[in-house]
Amino acid sequence: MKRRILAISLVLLLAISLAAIGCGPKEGVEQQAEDPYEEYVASLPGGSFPVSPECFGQAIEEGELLIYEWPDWWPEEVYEGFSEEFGIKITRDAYATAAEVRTKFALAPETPFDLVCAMGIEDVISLSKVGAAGPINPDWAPNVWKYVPGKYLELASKYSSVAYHLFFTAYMYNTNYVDDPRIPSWGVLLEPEEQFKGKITLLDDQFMVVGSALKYLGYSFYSDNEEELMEAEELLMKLKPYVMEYSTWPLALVKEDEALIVHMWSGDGWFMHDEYEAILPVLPSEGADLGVGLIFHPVGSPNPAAAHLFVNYLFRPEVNAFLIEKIFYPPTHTAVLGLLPEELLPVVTVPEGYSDKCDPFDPRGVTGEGLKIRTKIWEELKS
Amino acid sequence: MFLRERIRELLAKYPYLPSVGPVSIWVILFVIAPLGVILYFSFLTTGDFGVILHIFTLENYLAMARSTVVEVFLRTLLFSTAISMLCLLLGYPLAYFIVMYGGRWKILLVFLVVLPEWTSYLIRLYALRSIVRSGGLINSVLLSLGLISSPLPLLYNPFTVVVGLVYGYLPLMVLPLYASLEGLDPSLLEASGDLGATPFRRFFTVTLPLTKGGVLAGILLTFIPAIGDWLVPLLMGGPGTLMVGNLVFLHFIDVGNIPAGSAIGMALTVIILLMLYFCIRAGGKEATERII
Repeated sequence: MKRRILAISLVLLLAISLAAIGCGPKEGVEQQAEDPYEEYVASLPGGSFPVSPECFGQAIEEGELLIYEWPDWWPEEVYEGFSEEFGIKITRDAYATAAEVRTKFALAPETPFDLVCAMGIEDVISLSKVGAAGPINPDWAPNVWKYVPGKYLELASKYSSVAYHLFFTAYMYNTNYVDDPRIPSWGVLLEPEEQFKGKITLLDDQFMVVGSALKYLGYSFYSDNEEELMEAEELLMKLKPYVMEYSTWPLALVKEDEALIVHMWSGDGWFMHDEYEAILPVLPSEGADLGVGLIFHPVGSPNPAAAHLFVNYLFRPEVNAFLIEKIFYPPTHTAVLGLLPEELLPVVTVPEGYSDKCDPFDPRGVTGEGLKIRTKIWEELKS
Repeated sequence: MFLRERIRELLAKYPYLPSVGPVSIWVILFVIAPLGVILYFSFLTTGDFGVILHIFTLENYLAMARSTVVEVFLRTLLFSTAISMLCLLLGYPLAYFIVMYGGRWKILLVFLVVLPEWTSYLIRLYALRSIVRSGGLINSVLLSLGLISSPLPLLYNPFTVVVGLVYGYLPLMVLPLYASLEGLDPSLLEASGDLGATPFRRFFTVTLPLTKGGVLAGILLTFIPAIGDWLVPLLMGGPGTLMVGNLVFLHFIDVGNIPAGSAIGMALTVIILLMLYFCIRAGGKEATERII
């Protein structure tokens, strides 16, 4: 009897095992068959467009992304979100000024970075001239072509660059110490009151410093006229005793109330205001330059597909809105303003008619005679 | 066969060749070749957007005659000389004290002199900056003692740049002086005392001449890095404190004119080589040994 029970049990066990084996592989085959690309497409939030299957496959295979950026600027969540979603490791290197990037690529155009963030138009022209620009494939970044206005899209084909924000050169002041009726004129910064001797910082960028002086005097930000430039020099030389430092990021000095009037780009001004409320940025009444913040794709990029996948991710409306919310610059993305908190809109929207007072990039200021004179002025100012 | 004979002949003729060979290769690869590249760049032209054009020109050297550039060179020489002298004035008594009165603490005292070098130069400068800034330690103490009514402008002026450089390079003066004083034969000092020399006279006629090599080595070791420094003027200097290192940086990075920056760099190299030549000539073998 016992033997019979044992035999029946063994047969049953065998039958159950065979059934389990029969079912198991079938389920496994189904799981393997699920295409990661389809999964990616299915998981995309509304309003986002997928990269091509070719780009997606290659990017996953590359598995890495090398970014050259301004330190501590873009929020970590942007990088983390991308790495988490695609399993692509991001390695970031930092530079202090865009000029540093220009020199690096002028000496070695094939420097292996996939993306260089936070470039200006003069930077990407310079990088393209030295042969550092890599190709951008529209099929690999459809969100960009969907949401960025056409006038900025030509920068992608001409200079391998994607425009993601607008900027103005401006200034900010410490509301606890500065109460000048001339606000928001450039005069507050460029012809300051006596008490602010040694309390001013200027941007460590010759084009912005000379350009701001030119604009205050009523000339083009990018003028190459010798007389106008000499007038700007005279103004800046008078300002010299008031300047404590040339810096693109004087946050520490601002927070310690050491720098009270600070030459700064508009968004960075709001960034600092977010850190220290007493400092308030203003758009100069005389106007300024009208710049475009760009992401550059170099020719030496070892992971071009991952670079495109990242740019496409960055231009998902909700990701781009999150970025703009943290960097405080007006976006180029046409669907972002509607996603931002209402209180942020005055900060990231260009005031009506202000662009008309501003000068878009003009190569006259950074080439030929214009460059020569500006370099001499810059030497005089810094020496 | 022929090659082997040729090598044998060469070795017979120049027996020191195997020992200097590797050093020569090193010097050629890592000193002469990079300098050659910089020299070549310094004669090239810069086009728009920083593009280097392979068109030979003397313009980069001629541009150095501009008053602004000359002023920066003169200021740099003045600062570097002042720094070397200040380091000597501070470093000699310190080294003398360690050697003569350090006793069994000698090694510990030398270790304390070297200790700050274990921290990054940049971090040390930031630390110094936080001490001398308006709301820093010095101003806070003076304000709380009622000695001043408003913070002193200690930062962003030539004085702070010199202080920063002295702070950074003082150990480079103390070490060769220490080695030189340590090697001094005490019987010579005793003999001069026995012959009636006052301590003052003994110092100037015996101690100082016998440690001349250490002094010159210290001057060189502080002068050379100081003349090329750009970090201290950048972090602690304001307008009117630009040094040649900053001028090279300005042309290489800010302006993107690599040939102009190379020409200034070459001029700086020539000044350093001349300084090295005169010091070694004056200090002889001992100065050379102390530098090494």
